[in-house]
Amino acid sequence: MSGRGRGGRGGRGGTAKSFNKEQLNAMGVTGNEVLPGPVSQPPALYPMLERRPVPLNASLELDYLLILRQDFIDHMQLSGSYLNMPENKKNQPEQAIDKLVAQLPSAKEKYDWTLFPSELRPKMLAKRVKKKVVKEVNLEERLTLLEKLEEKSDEADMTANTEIKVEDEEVEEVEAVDEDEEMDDGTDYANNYFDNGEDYEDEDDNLEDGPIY
Amino acid sequence: MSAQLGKVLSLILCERFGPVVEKVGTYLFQYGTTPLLYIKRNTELPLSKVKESLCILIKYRLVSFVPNKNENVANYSLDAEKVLLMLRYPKYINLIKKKFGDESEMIIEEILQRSYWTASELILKVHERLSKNTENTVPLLELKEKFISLVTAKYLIRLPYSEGDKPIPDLKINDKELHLVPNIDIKQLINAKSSTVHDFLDRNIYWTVNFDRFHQDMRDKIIVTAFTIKFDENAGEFVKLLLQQMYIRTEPWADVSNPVPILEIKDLLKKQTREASGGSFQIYLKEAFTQFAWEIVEQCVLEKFDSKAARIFRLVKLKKYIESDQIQQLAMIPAKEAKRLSYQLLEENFLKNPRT
Repeated sequence: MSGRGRGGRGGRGGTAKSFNKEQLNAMGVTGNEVLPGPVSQPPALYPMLERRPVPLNASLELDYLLILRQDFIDHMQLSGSYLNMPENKKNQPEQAIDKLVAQLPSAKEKYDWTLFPSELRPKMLAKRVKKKVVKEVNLEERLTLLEKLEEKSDEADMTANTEIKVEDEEVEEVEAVDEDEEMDDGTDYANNYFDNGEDYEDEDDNLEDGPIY
Repeated sequence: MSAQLGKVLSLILCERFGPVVEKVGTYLFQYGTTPLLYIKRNTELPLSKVKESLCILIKYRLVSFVPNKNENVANYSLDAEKVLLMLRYPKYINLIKKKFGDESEMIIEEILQRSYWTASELILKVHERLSKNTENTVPLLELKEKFISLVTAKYLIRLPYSEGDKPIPDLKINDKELHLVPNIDIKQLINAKSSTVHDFLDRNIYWTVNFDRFHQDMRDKIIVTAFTIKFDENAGEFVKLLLQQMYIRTEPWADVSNPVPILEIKDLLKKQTREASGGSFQIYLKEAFTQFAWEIVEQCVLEKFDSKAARIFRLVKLKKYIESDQIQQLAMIPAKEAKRLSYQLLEENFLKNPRT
């Protein structure tokens, strides 16, 4: 306790001299040097500015440049190129709206995919476009086929053959779509094999509920 | 420097493209060239978002890609210079406004907003915007002329395109095609205005802004104004003519221009006092800019410190290496003050001590 009293607040300005004159001289404290008075004000919030920067000269041109800049930024922020962070899962309703908005043709950027690496293509796009095409072809051909069937029942064998051909084509197209999806994945690094263990517990629960005897 | 640059880049990206693109861009800046899956793993964003951001960055020509060893995968890298250029977009737009007028300004603005576009769609959009704002509409033909003049003056160039059907497109363009005036069918444009179906002749021909050409204009303007300030208006005018003549026989970014005969400039000035001995002049473009840079640096020192410090600074510049004793003698500044000033200059990195 006593040690604390000396070393703490009273130690420095106390009556007892802790150093003699020679020691003070060695440390650079000379006798006739005036010690700084007590500090009564708190230190400045910021260090003093040594040099002030040159003021900006406002001019019409500068204002116009600023307007142009702001216009550009506004345009970018409203365009489809401005991406916000994905929402948390708690805000479900907002997310649903986002998804709806994203499906609007104007909200999403359209790209000329010949200028981009194919691995960047979103999967949704590839699927939808191709499926639509397949369906349209089917409808038209089916209709004409049916018409033919009605009109020329004599040539039933012939039409049956063509029908089989059409179906073959269909199968081929479906296969093409599948291939595309695999291409999009690139390698199987993209697949998430991580298992957080939740499913495991679920299974356990099921077992406990278990078989009824 | 690099850390500061990274901060500036991320601010620029965030302001214009939002936080997701900013994250991807910053990652690419920090780690250099990387493939898609690395970006996905380390940014912890969903794959679709990473893909979308890369698409946006590629669209605005801020990210370039080259095929990996595995030809289905690409390596992406951020072009920091191009991101910084986004700060200059207002200047580009203003430059065109001054030189070519409001319609051309709008063309450049629309292209900068989209990064690249086809000529037909661009002209239609500008036409639509103009007819909204003003009463008297500008005919499509006039807009087409404006567009073509921007192409021939090399402010717009054609975007590199890909040939063949590789998974990672190899974007190329030969020099001839860069400034080849496109085929724009006015009739088609007029038809397209009334119908919703858009299928133009130049569907796959995209045009983009040639930043280099703008920089050339800016450089010339800086040189001319510097000469006007340093000497007088006649000198400025002379240099302007000299630069104008220079482009006839010199590459725009050469360090030193090829000689320009004085007679040509006199012809331009329509002065009939022809002398027998003409002589010719060269512009030391690079030297001029080095000189400007020095002057700015000296001005900085003068503003930050005082005229004495500027004197010391100029002395060191003149001698390249100099002892501190010599500074005191040659600058004729008392020893103590000279020491203090040179210490201040050293501390703020205006001077360098070669021994440390």
